[in-house]
Amino acid sequence: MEQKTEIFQGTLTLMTLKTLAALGPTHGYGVARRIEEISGDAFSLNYGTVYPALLKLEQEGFVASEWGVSDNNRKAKYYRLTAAGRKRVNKEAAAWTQTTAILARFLDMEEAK
Amino acid sequence: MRSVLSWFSKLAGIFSAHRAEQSFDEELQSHLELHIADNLRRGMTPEEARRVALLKLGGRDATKEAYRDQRRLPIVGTFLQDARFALRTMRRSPGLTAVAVLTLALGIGVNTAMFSIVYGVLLAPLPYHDPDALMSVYSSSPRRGYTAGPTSPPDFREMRDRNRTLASLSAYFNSAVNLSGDFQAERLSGLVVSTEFFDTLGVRPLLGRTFRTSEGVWGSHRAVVLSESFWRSRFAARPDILGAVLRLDGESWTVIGVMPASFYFRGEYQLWQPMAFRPGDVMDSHNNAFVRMVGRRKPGASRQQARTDLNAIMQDIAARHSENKGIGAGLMPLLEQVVGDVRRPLWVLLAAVGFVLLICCVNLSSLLLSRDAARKREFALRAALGASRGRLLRQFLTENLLLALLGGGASLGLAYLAVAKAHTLVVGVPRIQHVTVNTAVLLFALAASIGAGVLSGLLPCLWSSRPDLMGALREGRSASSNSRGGARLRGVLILTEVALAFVLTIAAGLMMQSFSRLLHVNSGFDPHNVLTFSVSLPDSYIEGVKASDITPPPRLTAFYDGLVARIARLPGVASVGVTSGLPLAGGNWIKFLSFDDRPAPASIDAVARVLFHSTEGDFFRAMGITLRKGRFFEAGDNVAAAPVVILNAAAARRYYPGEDPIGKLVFLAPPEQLLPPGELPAGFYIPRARIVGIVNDVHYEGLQDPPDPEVYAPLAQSDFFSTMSVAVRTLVPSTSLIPAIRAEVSDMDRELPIAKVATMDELAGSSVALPRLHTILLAIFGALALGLAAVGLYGVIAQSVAQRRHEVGVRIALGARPRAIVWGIVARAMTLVAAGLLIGCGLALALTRLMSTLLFEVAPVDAPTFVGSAGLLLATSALASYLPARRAASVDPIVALRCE
Repeated sequence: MEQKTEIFQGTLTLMTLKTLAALGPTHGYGVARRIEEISGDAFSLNYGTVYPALLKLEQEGFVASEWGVSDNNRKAKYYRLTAAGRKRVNKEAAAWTQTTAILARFLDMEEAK
Repeated sequence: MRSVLSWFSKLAGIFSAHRAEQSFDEELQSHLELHIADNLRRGMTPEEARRVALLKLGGRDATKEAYRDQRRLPIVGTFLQDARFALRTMRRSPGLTAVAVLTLALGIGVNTAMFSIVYGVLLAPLPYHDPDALMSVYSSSPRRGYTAGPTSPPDFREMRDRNRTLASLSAYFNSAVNLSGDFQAERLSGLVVSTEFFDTLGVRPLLGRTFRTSEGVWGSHRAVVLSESFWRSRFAARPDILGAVLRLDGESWTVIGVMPASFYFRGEYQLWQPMAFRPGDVMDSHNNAFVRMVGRRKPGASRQQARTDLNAIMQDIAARHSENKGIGAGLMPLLEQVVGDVRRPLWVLLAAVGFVLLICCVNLSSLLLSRDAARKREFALRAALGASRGRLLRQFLTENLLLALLGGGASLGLAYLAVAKAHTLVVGVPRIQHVTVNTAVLLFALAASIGAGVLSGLLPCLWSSRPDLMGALREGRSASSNSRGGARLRGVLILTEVALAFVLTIAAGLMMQSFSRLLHVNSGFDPHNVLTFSVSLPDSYIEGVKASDITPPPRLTAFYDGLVARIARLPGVASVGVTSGLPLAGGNWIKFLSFDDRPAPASIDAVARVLFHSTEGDFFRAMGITLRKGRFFEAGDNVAAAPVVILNAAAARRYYPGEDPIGKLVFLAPPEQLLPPGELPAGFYIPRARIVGIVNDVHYEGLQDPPDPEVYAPLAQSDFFSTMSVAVRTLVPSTSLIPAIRAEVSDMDRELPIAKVATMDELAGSSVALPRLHTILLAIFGALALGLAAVGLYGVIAQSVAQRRHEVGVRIALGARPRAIVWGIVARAMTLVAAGLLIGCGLALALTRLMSTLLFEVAPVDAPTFVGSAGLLLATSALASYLPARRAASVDPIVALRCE
């Protein structure tokens, strides 16, 4: 159970970063929606979980935030990637792709047996 | 790097918590509004839109909590929260809090006090430059039975000049000088040091300078360095003291420096004098080993290399001087030499207080257990509401740590008090005056507090935080801690407590036993109503002495004869004697003993060695030493008469087994043929002395050492000593004679002070001061352990009995006899106590061996002590469990049943 959460935490961070990279400055609700949309039904995401993740990224200096006004004229806090954040997205995306590729090969091998 | 950044931002977050909270509230609000708006657009009703948004968020409060956890340093955040909660809990039960804090204050307090002494005495570096390189250097001769002995001045000089492993080597020895002048004559204790002494230690004077090499030469040696306290007390810290001239032993000495107050070496000295010998001084020979040495290792030179280096030099000396045969050199770290004797006792005492603290922790554990049992429902409720086990554990630990820190804080008061007392009460422990409650001690107290808090809290924590929700919630308040886990845990606590207390009472018992045996040793003299003091005659009394003289200078014998006669005439005096060494006062001379009627041994190493005392007047009667055979010395045993000696019983037993020594001829030197040619001055012969008496053995070196063979000779017929001690047996309280005696001495020589005035009772008392101190401390710790264990046991039994009140009530209602119930409770407790004793016995067997060097005539595994301690603990625990059991059994069944 805990292990699953841990994996989820890691991927959530990457997904958050990637979302911000793709959409530019976005509010927390937007990030949550986007992650859910992209993942389809694979995740049943509690929207609330993106906020601690965003806060962590902000504390580490990968994202920055400021209050702004949404498309439909509502006050919202917008998050955007910092330079360090952009660098991290690229690095982690590459690492992740590599990991999944390796893992996929392993799983194939198991099946082939 | 990133984690550091994040840590800082969290740290900052502590101080802006309120604003951040508000900001996140707004953010959540805007999130919900955005989501609701989206939902509405999809065609939901307003209520549905709102409900879905909240659901999707995963709960507003849960999100906030998760966000807070991320915002704060997790420990700090929950710690503050837990601490606030803990303080509230403590305020709700002030009695329990007070008992817990006091228990800890006591346990941590004795440990902190003991540690401050251990640190100040054993661990603190010596106050010299690079103290780790300083070594105590000594002569050793295993064949002659000593391993760390003094060295002769010429040996010291050769080692100093020829070694290649020491950066510096210096020598020192104690001296006593008479200060006279415009004021009342006073005896000062000084240290005579070779001129490089202060440089070896790497210390600087407060004023002036230390010795120059030229001041180590006889004639230009009359320079003196004062201690800060002497300069302050005697000269009111006069800044113009440098260059002042003091009359020391009738000669003029110039003050060249003052050492700072922080400087100490070995003891309290008023002054330091340079080491210089008059050309041809008999003391400055290979035969007279009396200087001690301190050296500084060269960087890179190991202890072993230095030992090899110095031994090579000593071997070379022995090749040239046969009296050095078999004498080598050794060295040990200076600190080790300074604290050698007290190291073991101090560690034993520290271990003992460690046990006391453990018992305190056990008591606290059981206290907390009963508290937590009462709160089990609260914890179950919190667990049901979603608190994780770790979170609950943290809450517990915080509460206990807070208790422990309060206890630790209170303990410092005890530690300060104990250290202040130690300064005045503890004698004979080196560096005790320099013990303070310093940073190291405070850190120790903090560590001990945290350790005690965690240790005492851990068991109850693990037990209470186990999320047996349903059980706890269902059981309600009273029955919960009666669960099997709780009973087992209490059993473990009793067991531990009894085992620990047993070990400590055994240790205390052994120490008390040993001390009582020490006090019952027959010292060989009668110390009551004996006043003693010492007199040091200046060089003017011995002028004109030649090395070939075999009897003391007439002026010296005349002085002591006169002194004895004058004091004997004082009213209230029974008898007076003079001796070269008092029992139990240290400083005894050793001489060779050879027998006129026996062939000489093969080598000088095989010649007998005995303690030697030169006496004058009625010494034996004054000291209360009884005669076994023959006669005491008489007035007729003077310079002109044939030499006589008296042996003690040990010497008679060893050298004349089955023979009557009276009338036999002996001499106090090696046989002539064993001495190198030219060693004896021309015209010198070794006088033969007749044994005229046998006296009882006297413990000169200490009560714990068996009496050595001793030989006494009349002062008029033997070597002289410039410092002699006088013993006066009185018919009136002996201290009342001090003024009259002072006046007599001053009347004989106005420049002569008397020193070391003490009753023989005091000397005997101070010779056992250290064992007495160890015994008292261990007895206190043992009693503390016993008391704490009894209180703890009482508490545990009372608690478990109180929880079984209902059951007891039912049983009484059904006709059980109260006595059977009491017996049942006591028997169950005693089973645990017995098991604890068994474990404690095992522990004690393993641990008391460590204190064997502290014990006198008592084996570390002493059956009576073990049995006695076990009996004491059994009786105490029987009482501690009987009292609550009786109360439980005397309860009115109606009341007991109703209270459910």
